[in-house]
Amino acid sequence: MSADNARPSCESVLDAFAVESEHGRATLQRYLELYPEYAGELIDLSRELSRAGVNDMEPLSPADQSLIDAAWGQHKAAVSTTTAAPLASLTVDDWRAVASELDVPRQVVTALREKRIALASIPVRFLKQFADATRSSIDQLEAFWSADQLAGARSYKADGKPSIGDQVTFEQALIEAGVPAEKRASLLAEAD
Amino acid sequence: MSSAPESVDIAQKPEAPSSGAAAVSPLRKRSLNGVPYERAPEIEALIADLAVLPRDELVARAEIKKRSDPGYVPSECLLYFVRASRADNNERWFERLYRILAERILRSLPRAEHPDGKTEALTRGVVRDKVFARFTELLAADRAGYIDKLDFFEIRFDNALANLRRDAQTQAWRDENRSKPLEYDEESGELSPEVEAAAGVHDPFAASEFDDPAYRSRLDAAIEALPTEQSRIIEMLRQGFPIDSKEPGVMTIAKALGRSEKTIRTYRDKAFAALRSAMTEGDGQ
Repeated sequence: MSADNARPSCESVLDAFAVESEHGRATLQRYLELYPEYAGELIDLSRELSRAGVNDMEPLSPADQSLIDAAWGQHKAAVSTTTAAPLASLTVDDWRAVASELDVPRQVVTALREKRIALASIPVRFLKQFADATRSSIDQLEAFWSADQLAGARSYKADGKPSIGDQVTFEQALIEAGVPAEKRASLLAEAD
Repeated sequence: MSSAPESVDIAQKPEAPSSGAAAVSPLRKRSLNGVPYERAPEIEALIADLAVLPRDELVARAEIKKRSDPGYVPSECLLYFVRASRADNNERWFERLYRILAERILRSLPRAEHPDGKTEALTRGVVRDKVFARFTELLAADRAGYIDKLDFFEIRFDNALANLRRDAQTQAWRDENRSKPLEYDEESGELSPEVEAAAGVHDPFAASEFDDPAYRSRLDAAIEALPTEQSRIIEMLRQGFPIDSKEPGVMTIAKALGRSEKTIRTYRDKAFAALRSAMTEGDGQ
């Protein structure tokens, strides 16, 4: 039934089964028929889903407290990579979605991603929308723009560090991408 | 008692964080059929309401532990804010949310020191540690780059966590070498008269105490302690699947598990006997 020929992985089948709205016999039966190769795992998951939930109200033990401390330490350490490349994790599909969400040609989104548009020329309102669409923040984007490395797949083409001279204004980028004047005006507006 | 601020008027919260008032970012994960997943509408609406609360107020709401409290913030929403605040420079507020979420994970996992059998308790501790480690790894990775597996936790948190539990349990069992039924020969399957008698009288799901949470929790623990194949048979029986059927289109336990009808019956009887003895030992009965 799936779009491509490849069978979905066990993990993706179990993830999908887990978030079904109900887990009665009919749902399990459907999955067992579609994915007999994962029958054992599906039945195990069905059992796990039926278990009465635990919500322990006792005070946390010192051991638990240190588990949380350690996890937080690890989590904090993960931050630096985000700031360095907040957009690096987005897939091609994600970028397509960002373009359609912002209602601009993909070319413009690509230019943003590759920092070929001068940050100062982007209206704050649009920048905010871009940050939301990419699940980052204006602060992160500013840090990203000021970082001296080019991000993105095409960076290898640059011999030296990019200078401001490589960048165009947001308006220019819109013109180059063939965005009509009226649309440009609304994208360039600071307020609705 | 509390003036449940469930219906906060978005427009009237000037002290709200400036983050584009209540625009909730969509999930990225797609279903097996390629359809994008969505959060439950009530979760989405609550996120939008909570997003405009002052931060301290949101943290105070998130700290409510009782699910029945009208101000309780479901973990689906809490996770949304933890993930969304990866983009936030205010580490202190973010840390508070993170710790609340991490604590919830631990509170939802049975502790090792639960007073059941020793082996199960040990496994339970291992499972708890594994699930917690896996979840916090996913969160950390999500901070560095979007991890769409976490979307499942925003769709149905408890269910996604149950799936992590299953995964951790499988690993723990593999480590314990429990997946192989060690105690008896699979196909020779003659049961001792004692086992047969015990199995005959005991259907654990028909017990009158079945709705009692304490009974359920002990039964869950007893099923968890069974060899894998037996616990799977028990689960399929619970769901009402027949062991075998003459009709070709019917999904049966024998078909799903790729075993003969006789083997399934033998395992079922073993399992019932084990459950019966687990449920009657201990507290006076």
